[in-house]
Amino acid sequence: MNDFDTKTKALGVLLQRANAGDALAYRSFLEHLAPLVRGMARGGIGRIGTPLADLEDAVQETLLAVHLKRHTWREDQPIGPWIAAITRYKLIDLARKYGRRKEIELDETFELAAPEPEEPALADHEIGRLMESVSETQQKVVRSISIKGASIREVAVTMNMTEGAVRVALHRGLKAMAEAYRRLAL
Amino acid sequence: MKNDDFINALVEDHATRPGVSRFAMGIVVAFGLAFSLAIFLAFLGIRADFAHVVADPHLVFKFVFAASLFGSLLPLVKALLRPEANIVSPLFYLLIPALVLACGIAFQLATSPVDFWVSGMMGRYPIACLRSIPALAMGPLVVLMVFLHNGAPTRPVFSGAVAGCVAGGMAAFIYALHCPDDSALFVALWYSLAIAITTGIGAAMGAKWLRW
Repeated sequence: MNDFDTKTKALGVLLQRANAGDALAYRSFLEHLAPLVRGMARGGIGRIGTPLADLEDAVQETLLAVHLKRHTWREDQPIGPWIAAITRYKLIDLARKYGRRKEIELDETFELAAPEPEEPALADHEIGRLMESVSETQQKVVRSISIKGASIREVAVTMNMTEGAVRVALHRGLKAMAEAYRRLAL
Repeated sequence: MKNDDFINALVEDHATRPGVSRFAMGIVVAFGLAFSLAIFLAFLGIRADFAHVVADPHLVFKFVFAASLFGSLLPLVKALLRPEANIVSPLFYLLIPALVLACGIAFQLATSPVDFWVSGMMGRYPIACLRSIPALAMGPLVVLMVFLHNGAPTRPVFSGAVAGCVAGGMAAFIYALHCPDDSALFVALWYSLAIAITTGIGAAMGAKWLRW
């Protein structure tokens, strides 16, 4: 069993617990997933010649895709290939987007590189700009929950909405962001 | 936005679960066929002599062929829902319907005189077949698209084509209730052509709708 398998096995356990309703396990899952995806993305991006500034976009886009498609992982299957497949799919999107700008030949066979633990300090990247295409309420909800770390209940109080409405706005906001990302790649 | 911040949003959204039910595949088939049948009953209707030909092997062949086509492809649709799916060649899934078709053709050639081969193949209503099967396939195709969209297919065009082929098979199954052309050679040519059209439509829809 190699390093990638060991690491992803732990992720599988976390996502399984998260699926059972454990929010802390889900946070831990995402926090451990980010550096792994960053490593894979760095490997893939290096090969397609995309600047590293796009790296964090690729990581967040992949995290978002994993989040929105997490029901497609079957708990009786290893999670590593599932994560790798989603990352590869998102990197191809990125390569397509970049390829159109710079006309770079695309090699679609990405290999998994070693994970990179540190997160480059970037103040605001594309995902911030993408928020412009999301409705104002959804934008406000996503922003207050992400940047200020507010809970759904707190946002509901400050924005004078029901918790259900906040939940819906958050979910739709995230889906709209994924959609906006995708459109950039076309 | 930093990753840690972004993760906050995903964690808060965790309670809103997307999901495919375990019975979803059965529901997709049921809904697809029901849609197709509803359009069929509204515009075409069952052939007048249905009661007389219901046990005719020619008619039975049409149903078996159509059902074997969409039935054999259902496991492929299910596999495509998962991003890491390792798809064996799609031709593998078409083995059974191809075999059924070959048997049908052999049976037809063995039981009808040579003079009737060409007229049987051309039938009376080939154009109606080419129009009706794609039209009847639109309902199931949309159902299948929604189903696949809810999954994570990493090959949008191919997934769309498979959905189109499955929808074509379902539509052919329903259209066989109406179609008065009974030669297996007619089925081999015109049904296949009509299903090829729905496969193409599915591929085009997949390119547009199955990206995520």
